[in-house]
Amino acid sequence: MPVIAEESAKGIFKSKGILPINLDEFNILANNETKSSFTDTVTFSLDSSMLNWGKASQVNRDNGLVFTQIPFSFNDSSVFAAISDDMETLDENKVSLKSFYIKAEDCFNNVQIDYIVTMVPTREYQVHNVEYDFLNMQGYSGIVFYSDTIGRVFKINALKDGIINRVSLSKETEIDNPKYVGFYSNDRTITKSDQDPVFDGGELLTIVIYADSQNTGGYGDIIIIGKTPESDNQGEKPEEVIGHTDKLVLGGGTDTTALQNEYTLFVKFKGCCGESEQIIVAPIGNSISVTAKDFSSDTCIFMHWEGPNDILSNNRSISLTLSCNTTITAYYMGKSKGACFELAKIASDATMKANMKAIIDSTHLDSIEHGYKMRSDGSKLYGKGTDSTLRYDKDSGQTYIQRFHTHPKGTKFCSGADIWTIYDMLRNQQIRDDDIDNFRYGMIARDTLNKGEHMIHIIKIVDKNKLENCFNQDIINCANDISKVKNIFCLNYDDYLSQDNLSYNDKMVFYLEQLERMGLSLSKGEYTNNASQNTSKVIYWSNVTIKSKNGTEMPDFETCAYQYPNNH
Amino acid sequence: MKKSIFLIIYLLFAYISSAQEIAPIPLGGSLDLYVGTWKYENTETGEVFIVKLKKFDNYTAINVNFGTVLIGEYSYKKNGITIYDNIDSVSGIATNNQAVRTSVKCSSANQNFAKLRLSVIDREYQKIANGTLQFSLEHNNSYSLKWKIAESEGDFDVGPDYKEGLSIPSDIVLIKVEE
Repeated sequence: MPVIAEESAKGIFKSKGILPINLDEFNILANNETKSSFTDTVTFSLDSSMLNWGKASQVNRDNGLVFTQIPFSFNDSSVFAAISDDMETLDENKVSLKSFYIKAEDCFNNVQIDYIVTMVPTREYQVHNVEYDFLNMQGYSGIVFYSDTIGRVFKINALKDGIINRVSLSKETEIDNPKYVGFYSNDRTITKSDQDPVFDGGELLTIVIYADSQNTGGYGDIIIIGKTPESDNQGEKPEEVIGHTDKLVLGGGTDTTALQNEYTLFVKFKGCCGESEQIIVAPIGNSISVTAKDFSSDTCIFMHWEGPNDILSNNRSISLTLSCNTTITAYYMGKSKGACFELAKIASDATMKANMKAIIDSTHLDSIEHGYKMRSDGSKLYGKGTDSTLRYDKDSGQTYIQRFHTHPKGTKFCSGADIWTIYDMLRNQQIRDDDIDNFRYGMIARDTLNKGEHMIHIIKIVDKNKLENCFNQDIINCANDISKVKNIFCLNYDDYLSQDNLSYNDKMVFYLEQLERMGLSLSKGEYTNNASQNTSKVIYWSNVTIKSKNGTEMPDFETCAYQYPNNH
Repeated sequence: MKKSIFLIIYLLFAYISSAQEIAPIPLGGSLDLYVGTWKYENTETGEVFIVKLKKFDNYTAINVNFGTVLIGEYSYKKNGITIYDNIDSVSGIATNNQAVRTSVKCSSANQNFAKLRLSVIDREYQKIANGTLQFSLEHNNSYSLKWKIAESEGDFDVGPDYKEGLSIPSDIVLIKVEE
């Protein structure tokens, strides 16, 4: 049975309106009973002047939760408290208490709640940790009271070395293993040394009894079960201190309106680019434009943005209008990913995707071939199409980095003329040496059988010499009759692919063999098209090579796990 | 009773005759009947289109053995003017690696020798055309070839001398004029 020290049982203890927690309901009375009503309770009332806005600070979590902490002005100066296992030793354990006004925002769901926390550390903890606060509770030991803005307590945590155990106040005086918290008025003196601050004097305002519980129950319930946490492995950490970015000191302002005049955008960069962060502060209502940093496109390429409210973009530059502090992340992929890096380069090439989308959309509006050539300076030349051919006018002296066209009839492979065109561009010096690695030749085949999968083939020059050698000797043998070599190649190539008795896989193997002997590689995409809205989306990309299975050559479609929010 | 049987036989014969306007090819899986010279003539337009085909075994190109194919050449006259004529070179074609090459090549599709794939180089316009070549036995026991081609798909750079379409007939019937 707990014993209430006689000297402490001086009457009805009150909060006196100073503490932002109204504990009168739970006060231990002189007659060893608790109060039965709120009579004599002095209700706490928040006033903006109680808050020290100059010391406001903020943390952002990856999940969109933002906590803003504004300390009360009386912290460390007006009130103090004590925690003890028994009434007799309360006075020996006096410590400073701290209260904070907390604004918790859930940016993802546009929810904000305000509450007050009051921290009463153990004396042992305070002696060694003078600079703790609510946003820095790593290793904290003591009690944390959570109350609403008029002081009604809705949660109490007891922490030991940063680990939580939920506790409840008691209206009973007879509980097992009780703990005591006493709150004192400000008429006391403090003798403070670095190692051992001593709090002397002060009037004991109120004293409450509580019990630890491992059964959290519901907020506001009075449950007296359980034990005090005794090891670091029990309980959980306060959600406010998990996964925080560095704390941001806001400073300035005198009220919440002043604080919300601007929001902060935390921009993270992850992947091969290393971990880094950029902080952008923007006035409320202003649109912020953010561009992914440039790294070497040969070794580390931008993939996409991720952020709250379904921010998911492959565009390097995005615009945001913040409704609260927000974190967005730019993801990058490195060359070490091998074949996937090549797919990532395609998937992350916003210009190429926009170009492709334009001709895909056109192809689904009519039945003629569409296509473009993109010059080295980024400008484009569009072809003139019929239902089976696409022709470009002379564009003297130009070099190119992209050339795409469509097959409205649905032919699933590049034609002989298409393949020859790549060689011809090289022969005519239409692809600069320093553009070879980035040059892409593309074919987009409409799914005329309505299977729902339209194809994109993207061909890259892997070995320039191989491509040149493939035809140069034939041209010499044909007395420099280039047309003859081209026509014979196209005739044989097209003839093979037009065989009705060959399967798609057989034709794909032939196609890949032809590409390989010419030093070319193939990446294949599939896209869907919404006919009513004429909008297209690429479903995935794969690298296509030949593999041997049981002595039979088969096409191997290698996809990559990232297949990021591909629909682009 | 006898009259009824005769009537049934007569009707059956009449039905079979009408259903076989295009006779099945009596080749037993051979390309031999395609070999020879085939001619299309239109007196109204003054067009004369002649194709000469020969069989070629183990036709190999672009690292692929196409097996036995037909290769050939053509001549084309319009209003008495020769547009192109290389028909005499057919006999000199030895392999597909020579500078002198065929302009017509056919090979079997699905082992159906009655209808072959057809690829043609339009020598005048320097284009490839693809289509089919279909063998028929006419009522007068002569052989004919249904020649149907269209410009192949492609992505081209063209100069000011580019010409639309094909310079040669695309949908005609040729009659065999020489074995």
